[in-house]
Amino acid sequence: MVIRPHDLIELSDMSALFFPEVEGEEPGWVKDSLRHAPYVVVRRAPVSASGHIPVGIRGGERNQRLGADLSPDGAARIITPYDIARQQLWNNVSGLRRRLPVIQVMQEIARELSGYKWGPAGSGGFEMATGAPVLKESSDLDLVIDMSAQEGRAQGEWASRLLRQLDRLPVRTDIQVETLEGAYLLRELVESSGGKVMLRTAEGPELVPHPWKLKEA
Amino acid sequence: MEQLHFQYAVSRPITQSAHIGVVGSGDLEILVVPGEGGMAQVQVLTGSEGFGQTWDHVLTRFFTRYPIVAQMTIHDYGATPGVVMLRLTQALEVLGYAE
Repeated sequence: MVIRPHDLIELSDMSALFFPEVEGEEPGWVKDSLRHAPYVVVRRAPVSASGHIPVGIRGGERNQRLGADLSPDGAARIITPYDIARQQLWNNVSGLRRRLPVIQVMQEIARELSGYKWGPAGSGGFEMATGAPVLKESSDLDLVIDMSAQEGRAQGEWASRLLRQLDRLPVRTDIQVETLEGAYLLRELVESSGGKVMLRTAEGPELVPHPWKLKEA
Repeated sequence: MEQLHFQYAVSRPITQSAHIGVVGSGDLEILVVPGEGGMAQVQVLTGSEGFGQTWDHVLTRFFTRYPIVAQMTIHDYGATPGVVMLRLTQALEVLGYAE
């Protein structure tokens, strides 16, 4: 079972969750939110020595986020951002919530990104996969593109064209580029005029030489 | 949106400005310009409310180690303390600050 950051895990057993950040009882919103939608999202952090998966729980408010560790026994099913895109799960969002800006732009996003391994993450991905109404009118759209199988060379032109297209949409999009070393923000790769860029790894963020400029040099 | 303001007693003047970071989930933008007097002034604009104390911890750690006389404006998009510290360090590099 390969588990990567942004994957959603449907829980079969809440008692498999541990809260090392909390002393005593976890906050009330955690139970509420898991009762409504028993899903956690995989965090970019090391798998613990005991094999527990680093996950996060999302509440209704932006500051309601809590890190936890999940014993793999408590995982029923994994939904990756790439599954959401492949199955076009935005079509499952019901009724009035289809009018939310993030949902409205998904078909166009899918057109722009056809040919890539991509998918929605963040609140958009969560709502599409679980049906829990976590998106807001003002939500940004978080996307992931898997470039771990691609050569980094000559991505620059494609990437800046893509950003220009997406920046015309009525929703702000943030794209994380997943590679074997970790994840970059596409916007930083396109806009950075040189010098170092941030790479997010399981061990934490680090500043590294620009991966595309490195290869062009 | 929450607006936070912090100030720290500092001693090392800077001459340059820096604009680093990126508008994007889990990241932040930092604008640093030379400050005045013996105080660093930091303005934080963040969509994640209720993290004032965490900001103070990170910024205190930064200005204790690098006491630059700076005026700093931060637009935060939900960065973790690790990302904040990394971007602050990157700003120092751009400013050409040497310990």
